[in-house]
Amino acid sequence: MSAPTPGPSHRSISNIRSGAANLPHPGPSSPRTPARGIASTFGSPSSLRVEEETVIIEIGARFIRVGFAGDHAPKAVLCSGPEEQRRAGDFRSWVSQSGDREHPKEQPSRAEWTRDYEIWASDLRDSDVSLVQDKIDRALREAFNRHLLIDSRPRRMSLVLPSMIPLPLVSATLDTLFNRFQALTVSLVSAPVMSAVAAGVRSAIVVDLGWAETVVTSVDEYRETRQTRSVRAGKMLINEVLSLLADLQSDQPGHQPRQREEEEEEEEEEEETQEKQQHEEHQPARPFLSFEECEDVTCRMVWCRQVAEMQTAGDAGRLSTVQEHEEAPDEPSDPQDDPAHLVRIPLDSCNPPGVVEVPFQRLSEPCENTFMAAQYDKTSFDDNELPIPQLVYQHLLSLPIDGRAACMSRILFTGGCSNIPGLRQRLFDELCLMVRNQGWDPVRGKGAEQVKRGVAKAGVTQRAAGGYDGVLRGATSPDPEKDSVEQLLEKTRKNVVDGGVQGKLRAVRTLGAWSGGSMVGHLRAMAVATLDRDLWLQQGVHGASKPGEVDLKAQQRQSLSHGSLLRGASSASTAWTLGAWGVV
Amino acid sequence: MAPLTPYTYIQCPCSDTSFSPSGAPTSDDKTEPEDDDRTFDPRAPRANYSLYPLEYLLYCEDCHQIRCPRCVNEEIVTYYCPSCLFEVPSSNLKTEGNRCTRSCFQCPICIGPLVVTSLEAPPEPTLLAADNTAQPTGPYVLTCSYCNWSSTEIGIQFDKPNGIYQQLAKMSNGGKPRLTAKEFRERSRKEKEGDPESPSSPLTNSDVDAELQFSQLKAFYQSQLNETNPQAAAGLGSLADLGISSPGSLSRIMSMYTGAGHGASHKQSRGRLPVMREARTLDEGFQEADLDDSALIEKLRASAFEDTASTDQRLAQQPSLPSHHPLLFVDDLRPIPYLLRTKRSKRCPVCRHIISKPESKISNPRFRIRLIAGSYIPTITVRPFHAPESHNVPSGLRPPVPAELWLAPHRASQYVLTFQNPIFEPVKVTLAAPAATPGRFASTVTVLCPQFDISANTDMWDDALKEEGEVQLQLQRRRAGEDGGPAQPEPGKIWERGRNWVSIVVEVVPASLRLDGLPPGPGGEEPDRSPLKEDEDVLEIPMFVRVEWEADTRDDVGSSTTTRDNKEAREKRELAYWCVLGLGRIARG
Repeated sequence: MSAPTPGPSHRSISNIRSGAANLPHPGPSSPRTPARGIASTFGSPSSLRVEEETVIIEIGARFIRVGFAGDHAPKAVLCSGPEEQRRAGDFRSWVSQSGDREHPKEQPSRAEWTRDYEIWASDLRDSDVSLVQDKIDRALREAFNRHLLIDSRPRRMSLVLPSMIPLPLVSATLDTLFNRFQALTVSLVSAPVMSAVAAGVRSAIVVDLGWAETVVTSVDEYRETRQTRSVRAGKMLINEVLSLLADLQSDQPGHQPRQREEEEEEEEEEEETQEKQQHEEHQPARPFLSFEECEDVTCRMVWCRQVAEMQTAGDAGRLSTVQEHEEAPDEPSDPQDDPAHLVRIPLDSCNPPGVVEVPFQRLSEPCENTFMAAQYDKTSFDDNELPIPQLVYQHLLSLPIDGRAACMSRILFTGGCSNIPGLRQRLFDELCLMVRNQGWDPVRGKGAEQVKRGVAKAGVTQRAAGGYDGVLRGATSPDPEKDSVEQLLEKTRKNVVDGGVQGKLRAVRTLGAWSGGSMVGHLRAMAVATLDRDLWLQQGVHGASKPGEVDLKAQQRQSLSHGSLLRGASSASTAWTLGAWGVV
Repeated sequence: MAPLTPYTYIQCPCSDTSFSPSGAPTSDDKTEPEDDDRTFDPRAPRANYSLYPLEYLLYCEDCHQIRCPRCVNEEIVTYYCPSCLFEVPSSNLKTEGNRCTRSCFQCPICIGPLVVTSLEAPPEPTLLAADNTAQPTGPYVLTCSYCNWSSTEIGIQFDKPNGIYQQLAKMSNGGKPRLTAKEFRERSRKEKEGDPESPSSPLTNSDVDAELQFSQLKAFYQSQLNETNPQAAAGLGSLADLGISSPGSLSRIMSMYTGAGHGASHKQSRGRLPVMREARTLDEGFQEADLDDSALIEKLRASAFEDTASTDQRLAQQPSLPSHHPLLFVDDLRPIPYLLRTKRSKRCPVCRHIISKPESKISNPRFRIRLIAGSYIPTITVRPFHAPESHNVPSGLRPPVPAELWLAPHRASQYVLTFQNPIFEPVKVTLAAPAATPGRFASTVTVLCPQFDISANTDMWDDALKEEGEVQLQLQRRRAGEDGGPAQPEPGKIWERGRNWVSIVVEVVPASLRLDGLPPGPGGEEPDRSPLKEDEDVLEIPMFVRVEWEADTRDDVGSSTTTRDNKEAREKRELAYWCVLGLGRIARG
């Protein structure tokens, strides 16, 4: 209905706006009643709306969240573990576990340990996509039947997905939704953008401390601009916790690891020696604990140390340039004084069951090793395993200067691991430290230092110096050379972020991607990709007409045209897109 | 692990056909040779999703097809609370959510039901009437009669014994009241005006929980949309400027009067700016993150492992918790309002016929229509084959049964499969089972009689009315064998036959579970020697069952007379499906 207005910032929002304006009026030329402020004056309009609610589904690596648009939280949060994958009518999880105490379940190898608990993994080489479909199908059925209490009438759905999810998985999910659940339309929205929406900001850097990967996404005016990732995330954390518990268990005098081994050897004596050797080869590679229990311990007891505890006192004072008040409360609470403080953790799934006494101090180690890895040299990391503060820093560094200015003051921490007490603070402080020490200068090393020193002495350019000592100036100082387009953009941008904080590190609270999706679904905003049932059933994923590379301009235009101009004429329109999720 | 009792699962045919992935082009290249040649592998991870016990399956009479829970369309008949059995109208569901809004709660610790009790000591029961009639007075708490949890542990007490849900919704743990959006607006207005009677400290982040923040954000976005909306029309602005009657300009004019949000006026003065801004203040739903978790860590340090909430407890909680920080401790948990339940009627997705319809009254557990598969397809039961004479031995002298249920590797053992025909037509059953079970440990399977007929399910008394001698004779002949020695199952012969049932014998030779004995793969590659997975020691036989029978073309009662006259009108029906027979665990060693 509205042509895209010039200027990049308008485009995306015009989507939302026009979508919201258009949806109740499907015909492209139907006269419109002007929107009045009634809704906001008299509270939520959800009670006024009689039509069916949109179902919002967020699928992550471990959890599926399902609920209705307009709710602040999902109605159902489901995970998919081996218990959920049992056959119908297999009630063994309800049978008393006493029989299993004597013969505890053997744990699978460490590589497979976590796999049963994932809904999907990005590595599709040896995973079965139709199994993923089955899992999603069962979880959604459970959610719809038990939690949402809806029947199998066709309805609108909105799917919140990470934007880098492999296309076969997207396609499998959509197949499930269209074939099994009679979805009328499915809107695809990207999780980081939704996190930004749920924080009330337009630009942000979203740090998703997820399961398989930590994904850092910068969102600029509701568009994802860049994404970097690291394997330092929940999966690694749980493995670290496992190693810690294994260490402690074998160290503990109360626990008899010797005896355990003897028992095993006794059991194996009847077997042939060959198998015994083989069995022992497997032994160290296998976790001694069930995944559930290890995850339980991780969620319950793991915490994160603070920068103040890691640094000398002098550093905290100098941090004042960034955010002093963030640091202050940590100093008095120096908790490292009591190394003897033990936490007794009962472990049931190991053989034999027992209690492990863990020094409270050591419970912060897994977190430390997973997300910071401070013991290693910064240059020793591979690209996919950068510690999180460094990952965020490099991400910010790689952003254009305006984007960085906007994003750095809108840091959103989401994902399961952000619930670890102290982790967000720690990451934030590490980032502050990094910025303070290094500035926004990608060049590092001795040579660079010398050159810079020389340059600074000579005082040739202000810019180099700015990059060297003043972070904030570097981020906000306008680019010296300007063309007309730049100026226009500058003008709009000034209006947009008018009054918004820039160039200062700041973390913002977000309600999470699901809530953002719920908000967007509630406001009837237009998603980048909205798929129609008929078209999907006809064409499948091969019908997606977008070129592979993400050409934002074309994409916006196309989705806009599809969304607002060709709406209602869906049978005629063959152009639809999966947006950022690509094409075959 | 206990040896398991033999079981039967049936694979719903829907999982084969209707679910072909359209978006996986690569899967076509590496598919198994032919659909018909493919043996169903009960151990494949996908099998768990398509196998159902017979009791779970329904049957569509019109399509003559099995319907599993995955391939039916459902319609909700009623919503009700499983605790108080009150019916909830569907309109309430929209406004009040999917949980019981009366006083039904589950214990957050043990999910037992909670009851409302008064904190006041109950009056002495020995006292006489006048005092006893007095109702107990508040404050009230929720207590769990199973684990003795009480809501005082999370600092929550109630003034009234009813309407607990509403009272609870207004409180956060610790008894601190939760602000609603309205109260928040009220307070922030007072603050701005500098109202001296503003009672409490200025509003902070901690006053705004997720629900409030969401509603504030929602209001903010809505006001932004309304503000920017008129100018959205200005995208077509050149057209809209034509006259006041055009909706675009009308809405613009409207917005001048109604768009009284924050900063609307100065935006207007700056010229057209069709951009939504971001939220900035607390009452717009913007919050700087409260990163400081030191109090949380301190609390964690001071508490024992048991003070933290377990994964199960956390997952059982309502996902929309009004807590500010992640749920970590037991005292962050809240009573769980009961999830409502539904009664659903089910339809065949193909022909739309109702195949299951419950009574709409909640207290009535009966069904008006329920076409369970068990009354249409043969029931298969499995039991270990005992030597026939054991029937005559007193039970005390029989060998202990559990010992036999462990299957010894490399030793042939026999099982009796009994097929019972539920329909009133004779059926012809054809069985097919792979010679070796799929999976790493291939046991050999021999179905001694893969094809047989079962007579119709006639009146139950027919058995008795038949000459007993004939039946007995038949059984005895089979059992006693021709040479008078103990009967042996013979290939190609039925073991036992009754009125509407037939037993056959299946012989299995379980494989050894030893990992070193695994044969190399087809290409000569190294076999998978990873340790035994769960249930991999269970001997499961996939078996393809084909049932054929002749039936009247019309099942209607009214037309049955005409068809009976016309014998040619009978049509042949068949039903084919995979089923899985679980025989028992193979002994290790």
